[in-house]
Amino acid sequence: MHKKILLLSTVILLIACSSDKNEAIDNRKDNLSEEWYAGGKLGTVFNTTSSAYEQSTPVVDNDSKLSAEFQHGEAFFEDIFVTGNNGATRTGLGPVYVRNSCIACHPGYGHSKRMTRYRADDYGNGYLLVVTDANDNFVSTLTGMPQTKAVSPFLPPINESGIHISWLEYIDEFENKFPDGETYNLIYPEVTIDRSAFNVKVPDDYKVRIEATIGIYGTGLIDAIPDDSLRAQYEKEKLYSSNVRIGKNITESDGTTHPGRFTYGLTRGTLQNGPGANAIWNITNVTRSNRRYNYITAAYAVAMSQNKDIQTKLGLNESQIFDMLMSNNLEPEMSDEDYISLMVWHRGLAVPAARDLDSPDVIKGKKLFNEIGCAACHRPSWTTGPDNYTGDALVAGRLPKYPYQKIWPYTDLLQHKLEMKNNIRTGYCRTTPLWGRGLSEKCTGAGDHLHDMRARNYVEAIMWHGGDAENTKKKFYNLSKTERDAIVSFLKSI
Amino acid sequence: MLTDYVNNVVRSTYHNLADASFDLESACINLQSSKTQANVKKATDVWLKARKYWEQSEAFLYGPATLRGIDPHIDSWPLDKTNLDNLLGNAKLMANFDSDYATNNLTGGLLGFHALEYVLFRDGGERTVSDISDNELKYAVGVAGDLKLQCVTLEAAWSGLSNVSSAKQTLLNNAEVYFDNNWGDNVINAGEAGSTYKTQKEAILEIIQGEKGCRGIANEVGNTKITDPVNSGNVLDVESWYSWNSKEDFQDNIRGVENSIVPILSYIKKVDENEAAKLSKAITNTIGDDGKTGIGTIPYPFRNHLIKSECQTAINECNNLVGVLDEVAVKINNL
Repeated sequence: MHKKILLLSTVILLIACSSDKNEAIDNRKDNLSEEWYAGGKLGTVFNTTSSAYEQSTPVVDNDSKLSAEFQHGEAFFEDIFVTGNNGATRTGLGPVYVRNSCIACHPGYGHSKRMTRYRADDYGNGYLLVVTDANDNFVSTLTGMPQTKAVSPFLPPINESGIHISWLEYIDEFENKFPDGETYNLIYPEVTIDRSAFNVKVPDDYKVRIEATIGIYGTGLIDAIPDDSLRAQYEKEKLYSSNVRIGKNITESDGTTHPGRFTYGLTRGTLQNGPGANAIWNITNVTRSNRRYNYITAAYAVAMSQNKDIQTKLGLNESQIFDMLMSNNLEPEMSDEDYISLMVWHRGLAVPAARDLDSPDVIKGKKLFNEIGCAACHRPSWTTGPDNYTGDALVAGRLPKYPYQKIWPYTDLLQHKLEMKNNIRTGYCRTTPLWGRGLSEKCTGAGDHLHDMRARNYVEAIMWHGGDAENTKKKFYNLSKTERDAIVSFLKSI
Repeated sequence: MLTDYVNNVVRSTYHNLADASFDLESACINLQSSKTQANVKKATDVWLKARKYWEQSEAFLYGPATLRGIDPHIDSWPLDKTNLDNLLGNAKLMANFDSDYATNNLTGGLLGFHALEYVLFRDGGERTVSDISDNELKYAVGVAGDLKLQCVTLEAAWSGLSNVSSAKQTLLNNAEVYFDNNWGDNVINAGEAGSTYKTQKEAILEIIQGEKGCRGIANEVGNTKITDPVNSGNVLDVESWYSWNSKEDFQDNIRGVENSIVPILSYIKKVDENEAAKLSKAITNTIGDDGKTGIGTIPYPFRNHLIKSECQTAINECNNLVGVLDEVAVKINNL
């Protein structure tokens, strides 16, 4: 404890003597406290350029094989996939797909942008459509992430032109005004889809919401946190929160189970069975050796196979089309080696080091962040375990590892209720990691927050925090302007 | 120095690119109305001219080209040939196909340079005019119109809407393209309030060492653009393979690096005279204008020489350039 304070004040003194804060920090990297290393020594990169989210970790940089694979793998994230199967790289898109590239949903490797319309081809549109019945159950005739693009002659399950997003004003219990008179604006989306836009049957009472992508840097570090640490956090929070939820146990391909820690719904237990590993298949419908089937529903296959126009264009009958769409034996379109490279790249993404932690404003903001209770859900740090991932035999032993690293994601990886207007499906949402967000505008061109990107800045995001966070929000509300600004400065620095 | 870089390298390149994109659309319209072999050649010549400016601009992909998704919009490859054939065969869609339709409905795999390249070039030269269908020409005109809009957007995003020609302003206003900042000013004003660059040094490092700056493109040329097709041996993995322009593309990428370094070279000399000299030499060697070094040693056309022994010199030289850029960046960082 003493040592940390001494180092910090040493850094502050040295900063004061230098004309350029950044130079001083870079020169004195060896004297920085652990807090600057947001991804731990092994998972952090000191970079504040517009590519800060795209960097490889020191672990990757120090291994020529991992480096080469990282470089090779990133193309599958950054470049588009196309239809066809002529053996060129990145082919196999379709027959229906959500997007044709990963980066379009994760611009600059970060969060997606708030959109006023849903078009799969709008760069930065990272919305997934959440189509449920009135009881929040996913509509069974659609995939969990419904597609809006199709390769002719097939039709997409949903026609984009029938999707409508309106942004509505919201007045909160404070009439959107702080005690000192400063005002803020709150908006939320209402999403509808015309019944005629569906090419599959949907129930009478369907409901539509949107959930947006988040940044992908540092997911390898989060994956290295031991399950027991998550469970311990859950036990601790249960003592003071009746609503907190831990992810259900999810079975991996090697038979082991892990509590979910990825996605808003805590639906994925490890990174290798997580959003990237699955998305490279289910967003594009590009098959691989262990995904030799399409991401579609039987209802969709029925609808397409019964469509006379499609039958004519393909020169096939109903059962032939159905069998083709529902086959479990499709030729792999992405090679195992390419997939492994992508996984090396994914796990090899570094977290940008914290910035300005020694600024008085940031220090004040951090103190308040902890005092008013933000850290109760936005748990500042974790320590990773041995990180010996073996769950997927295909990649076991080939991935970068981050053993015993202290990392600073600012999330408890558990679910809470924020009780927002037009809330997320089920009302429960994983605490989103806050690390790196201060670089969002620079890296992605936008800095929107919350699951549907409704908050245009940190203050709006905080003021939407109802439910389990209501008391903390009220405390924020009652802070002075300088104190509120200090918290925002702190949030930008981590 | 930053002003010199922004004005004389970035704004100037994008201005030339935008102008060339107008010419490219005109050439496609001209070819459509007067289908002659000579007009195909005119169009391919303009494509090559516009391509050169674009490839050089890849030394500064940071900012609007990335943030607005313009790079994937106009330079994605491979071409989505299956979807393209579907589009061309769809009489209903082709009846009303124009640049508005292209901008609002097509995606990178059906737009941009490579889409036009596919219509205009075959086997390294201009296509035989009788092979080009009317629908392909209609498609090309629409795609060229969209490409023009994107290139003009780039120019205005860096220069400011009021600083481009009135014809360009009209184009942008009609297409409802909005700008909430002037990226050129953002770089020039590095270190001042309002700039996303907190210090001048940050901006200089972005230029030299950025993933979307000089280092990024040098690395990509050596370790992806050349390396990936050499490793796979698959000609379909080669960019610009209808026009066989790959080698020129790669050299232009590094010429973009060369252009970027010119206005900041005297600064680099002050930081470290040796490194500055090393950098100049590395750039020249990597381009290999005389055919004796770097990319210059790859036999033309690249797509027919996907052999390690024939490309290793180019790859090595690119990696050397990356190393020198890194050394320069470290020196600047340690100031």
